[in-house]
Amino acid sequence: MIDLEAVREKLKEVYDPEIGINVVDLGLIYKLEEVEEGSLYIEMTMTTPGCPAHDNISQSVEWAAAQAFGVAMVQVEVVWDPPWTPEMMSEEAREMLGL
Amino acid sequence: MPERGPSGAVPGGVITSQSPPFAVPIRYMCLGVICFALFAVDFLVQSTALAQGIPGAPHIVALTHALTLGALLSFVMGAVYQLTTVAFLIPISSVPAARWNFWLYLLAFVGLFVSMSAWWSVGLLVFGSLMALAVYIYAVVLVISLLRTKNRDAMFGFVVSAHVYLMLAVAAAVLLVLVDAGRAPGLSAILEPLLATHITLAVGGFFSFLVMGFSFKLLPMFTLSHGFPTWRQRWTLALAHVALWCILGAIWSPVRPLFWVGAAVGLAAFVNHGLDVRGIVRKRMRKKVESPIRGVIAALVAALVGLCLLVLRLLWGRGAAGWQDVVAFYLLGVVTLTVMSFAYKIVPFLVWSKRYSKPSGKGKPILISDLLRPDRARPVLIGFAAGLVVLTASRAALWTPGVVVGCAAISAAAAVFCVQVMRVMEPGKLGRELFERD
Repeated sequence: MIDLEAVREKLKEVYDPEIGINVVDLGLIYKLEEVEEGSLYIEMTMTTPGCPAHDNISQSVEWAAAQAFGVAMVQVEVVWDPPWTPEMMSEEAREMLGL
Repeated sequence: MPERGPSGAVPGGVITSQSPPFAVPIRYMCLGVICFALFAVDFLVQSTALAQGIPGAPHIVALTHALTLGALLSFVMGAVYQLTTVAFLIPISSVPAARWNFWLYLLAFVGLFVSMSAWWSVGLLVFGSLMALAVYIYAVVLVISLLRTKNRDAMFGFVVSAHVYLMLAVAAAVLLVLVDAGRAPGLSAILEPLLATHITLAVGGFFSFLVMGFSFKLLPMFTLSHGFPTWRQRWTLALAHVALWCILGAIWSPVRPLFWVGAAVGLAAFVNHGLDVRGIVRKRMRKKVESPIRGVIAALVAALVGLCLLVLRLLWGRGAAGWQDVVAFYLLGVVTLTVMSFAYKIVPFLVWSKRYSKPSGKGKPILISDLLRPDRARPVLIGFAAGLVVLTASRAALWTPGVVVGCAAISAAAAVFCVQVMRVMEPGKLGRELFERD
């Protein structure tokens, strides 16, 4: 059984390199789901289509999630629907950006 | 161990891994920065010759091409190979061609620079042909790549148009070299309009269209802007085309008012573009507008000033020297300032992706701003812009000390830029990376 909260904490180690805020607080992680024993599915997005950090961020999310206890397999899917909006950010992230 | 799919390709999701290997963009960018340094030194050395304003002097032609071909085009080629893949979500049509074409481009540039400095006709012919071939390979690879995208928006129009104009500019350059070598005596009567066409297509066509087009992607990305209006973009594209063709028409026909129309429509295009940029900046999420972004905005203002200077040039013409001043102002104030400004964001990102993107899991990760703080760009861009103002004013007043001071300020700014960017690239680590898979 995967502890999804532990995964979420691990994902907080993955930062958008340009903004300097982690992907969880940015609201980029749409879905975390254990689809079968030890197999984790992550649905995420980027702040903008054509973000040059695409590869790095999605691969880092995959790597970070794999560090969580009980995770044997990770599938990361990048989606554009629904598109990311600033409202998806956490309060902390908004404060950091001065919004 | 977790199951890992192909790099960046996520099952059922968006294919994100389209970027060419690091060696492809970085070698062009590295050459660009080295040529910026060459330009910085040569610009200072040639400052007294620039004050005398002798258009077409071999060393001035070589200096101009050290900037346009060596620094700007080389840097831009590297950036475009990288940005095209992320902006249009397409791969480069031929990575081997992009990789190997660098060596042809390097050979052609070095040969052409030496040939121009000595005005060696055979060298101009040989290395000019090689340069034309290298630029055509680049443009064809890019256009074929771009035609594969489904995203046919204004940015697509700008970038494709830019590369078509680049090919036309090179065609005009080839004709110029043939005329100079005496291989096309029939064309010697049209040398002047041919030269004006080459400059207009290269500066007004290629560079202007490219920086305007990619601004639509880069500015929102670096300011984290969302929900800005985009309806003007197609109008800007149409206006820019009309302006360019009016100016070309004026060069080749006796209809002088076409210059006025071209300058006026060009102004309208940049005003329209400025409104778009304002919309992007207003809708930004980042409270602080970083220095590189301010540099891009300053370059946009310089474009408006440059087109006003074009109109003034029409009113108070000073012959070829007057044209040289307008072109130099536009090339330095619009194209170079924009490229330098974006370089402060693009180079650190590229280096970060290659060397620091893998999470270590220990402590706070290295961010792009850790490689080069954006505020370091401020004194450089201000110094560059101030030098350009002094240079342009002094050239207009034919005041030699002012020209030398202006050139010195521009040279110093360009030199500091090179040092800053090279420190990000870390030459010690670049060695092997530059030659990867060759």
